Amino acid sequence: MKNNKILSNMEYAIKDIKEGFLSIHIWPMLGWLEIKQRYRRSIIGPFWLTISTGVMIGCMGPLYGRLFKTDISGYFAYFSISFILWMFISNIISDSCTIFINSAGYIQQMKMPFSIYVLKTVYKNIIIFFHNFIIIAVVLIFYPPLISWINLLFIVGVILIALNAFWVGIILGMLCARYRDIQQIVVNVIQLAFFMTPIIWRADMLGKYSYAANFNPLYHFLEIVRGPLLYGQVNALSWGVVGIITMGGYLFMFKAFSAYRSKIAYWI
Amino acid sequence: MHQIIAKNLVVEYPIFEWGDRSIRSSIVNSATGGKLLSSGNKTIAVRALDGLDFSIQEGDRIGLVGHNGCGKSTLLKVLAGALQPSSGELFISGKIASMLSISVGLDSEATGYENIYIRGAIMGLKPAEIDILVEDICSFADLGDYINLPIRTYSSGMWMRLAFAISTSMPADIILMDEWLSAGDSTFSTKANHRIQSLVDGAKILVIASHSPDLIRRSCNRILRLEHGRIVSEVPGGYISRPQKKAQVKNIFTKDSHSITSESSLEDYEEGAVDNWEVNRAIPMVERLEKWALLGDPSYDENALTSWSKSVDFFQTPKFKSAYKRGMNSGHQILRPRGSTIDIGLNWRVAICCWAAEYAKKLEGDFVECGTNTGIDSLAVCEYIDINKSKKTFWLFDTFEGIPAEQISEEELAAGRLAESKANYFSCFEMVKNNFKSFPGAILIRGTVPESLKTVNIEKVAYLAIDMGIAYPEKAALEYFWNKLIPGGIVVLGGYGWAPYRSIKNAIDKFAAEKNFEVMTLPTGQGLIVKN
Repeated sequence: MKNNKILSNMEYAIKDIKEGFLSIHIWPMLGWLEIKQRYRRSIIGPFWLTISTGVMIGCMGPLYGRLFKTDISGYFAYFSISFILWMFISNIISDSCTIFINSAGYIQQMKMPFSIYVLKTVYKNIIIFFHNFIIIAVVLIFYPPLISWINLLFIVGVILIALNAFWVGIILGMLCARYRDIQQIVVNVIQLAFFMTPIIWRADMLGKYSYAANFNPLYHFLEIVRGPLLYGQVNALSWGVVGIITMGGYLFMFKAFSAYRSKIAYWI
Repeated sequence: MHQIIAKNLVVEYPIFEWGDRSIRSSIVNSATGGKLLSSGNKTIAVRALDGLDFSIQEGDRIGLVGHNGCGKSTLLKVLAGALQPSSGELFISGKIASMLSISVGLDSEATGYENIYIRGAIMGLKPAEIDILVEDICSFADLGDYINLPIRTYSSGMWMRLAFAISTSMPADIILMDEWLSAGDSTFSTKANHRIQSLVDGAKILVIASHSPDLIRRSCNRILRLEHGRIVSEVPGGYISRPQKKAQVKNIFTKDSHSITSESSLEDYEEGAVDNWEVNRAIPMVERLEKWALLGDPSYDENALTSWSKSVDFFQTPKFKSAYKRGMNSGHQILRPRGSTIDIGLNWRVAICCWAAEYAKKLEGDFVECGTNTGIDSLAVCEYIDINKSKKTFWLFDTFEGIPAEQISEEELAAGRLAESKANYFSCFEMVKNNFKSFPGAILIRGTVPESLKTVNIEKVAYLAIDMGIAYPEKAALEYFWNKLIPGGIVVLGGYGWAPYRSIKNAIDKFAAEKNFEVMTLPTGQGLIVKN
């Protein structure tokens, strides 16, 4: 009677995550559903995302290029990629806050691994990112980067971001369910981070203070995609930092998830 | 082996006050050692389940009863796996089907068809498994072409039907229900009830919470009462499992002459090696019944009468149901407290009265009932035969305050008739008058029988119902009306066949011998006479 074994909290957490990942017929479906819900009865559906992002980049790119008095051909591709990556990352972070709160209806009524709700959110944001990636592709056709095999490393970069999205989702999802103020803090931090992170500006624009950007972890997450894709560069520091954050994040997440997983249903 | 075992199961809901839910209080508290906000820093917890110990084995049908907030729903949620217990142990083995919220996950913008897959996936089914079920679900929900439309276009009834069809589409070992699932209009609800019943029958364990004592008694073998998160009592329910039922029947049949008399076995019989009546008889009755698929669930199991394999469709006709309900809701206090509307399960008895009245309607003569109480039988009869249309006069005799003490014999007193009368009957004249307000043909005569019989002029009687609980007035009433009964007139004696009321049978039989007729004893405990 294998069901009768008492599991430790850690085993429950691992089981939860494992079962979540294996439920590949559930979270992709729920993720799609969320996107579809937003665009039901609209003719072009999720491509509204592409259009709105495109318009934004089309307007902001030349504007900031002008303001920073940089060469628009180099700046535009940089800005487009940075902005779309930022949307990807910031949406993941802000969505993470409501992962469990918004799934209260499910969580309180049925037994499903909690990780499913997180995977659903990550999946949804990856889909949105793919829609926006069309813009990057178009921009890169007009402003081609230096072509080399290293370009392809950007895929690993995106995968790393998605991997990190998972632990961030669990941590923020739990924190925001327990402490409702955190969500407000996160929203504000994201707004601030948009300006403080090299997205519309480049780290080298800081001159002798350009090293300061290295203290911003988000900068490194942008770099591991932006560097290879745009410049064929591998910034060892960025990859290293992201690697450490990923490992540390997962360790932290396992600890926290083991300890508080059973409380989530009571918090929401 | 499917089972659920709980040891010292505790569930506490933390109540976060506004202050506690904000991070400020946590930070402030950690900085001040929790002293500053001493009133705000305590997380108040509500103990919804307070150390439950129970063991549910295969075959159990558990009914959870108790007031709102006693912990029933919390317990179901814990069993469903939605809530993890705060402490204690819980072992569950078996596939669980939670019917607690059958419409969670339905997406109003998706079509009915898409929703089958969505809801199915949430219930833990793989798409390939849903493929197999989808046809059954569609045909059961019976939504026609609506199945291809977004469910936001559905009426609430259609929505419910879809949710119901999906949730009940696959068998499970353990079924959890918060109140008996029902859905839709009357035709669908009959179908739905059938489906859920067969699902429950097929399940190894049922745990149901309900506010309906009748439902719980019928469908559960163990009734747990919860109060303030604890099990305060456990009583057996009326439900008998299949194996138990078979054992019971086996017990009955092995006691009598139907038991094995020859060496031939059932195998010989099945192989056709032997095929004659003697051998047939040699096979234990219970096995014969089983072989012929006669042993299902009881078709009727009420009022100390259980029947197998007998059709009881007559209870299901809208006409009878409505009539029966009218009588049952007459405000009587038999086996139930004042103000209760619990159905005490007199269907078969009332059906016999209705049938007899329907028969007598075509005859010449009045209707008479001695022993009306609140009108359980007679109200049903009035409605069933549509007395206003048939222009019959229905004389209703009763003291309307129970059995008169002076009429009770020594023997009957010893058998507890007086105490019983005091428990079941009360002064109800005004209430009964009101009950029959809409039937001007029904005339209430208050007083003791037989004295009150002479106060009115009744010439011919076509239908006579007598049910007064004791011998003296019953026999007197039958004697008084015997010559007034027209040929073919019908008499229903309410207590004639009940063994504990043998004094009535003895008295009536004496009269029957004098007049040279026989009373038919019915399985319901009633006695039936047709005068020739």
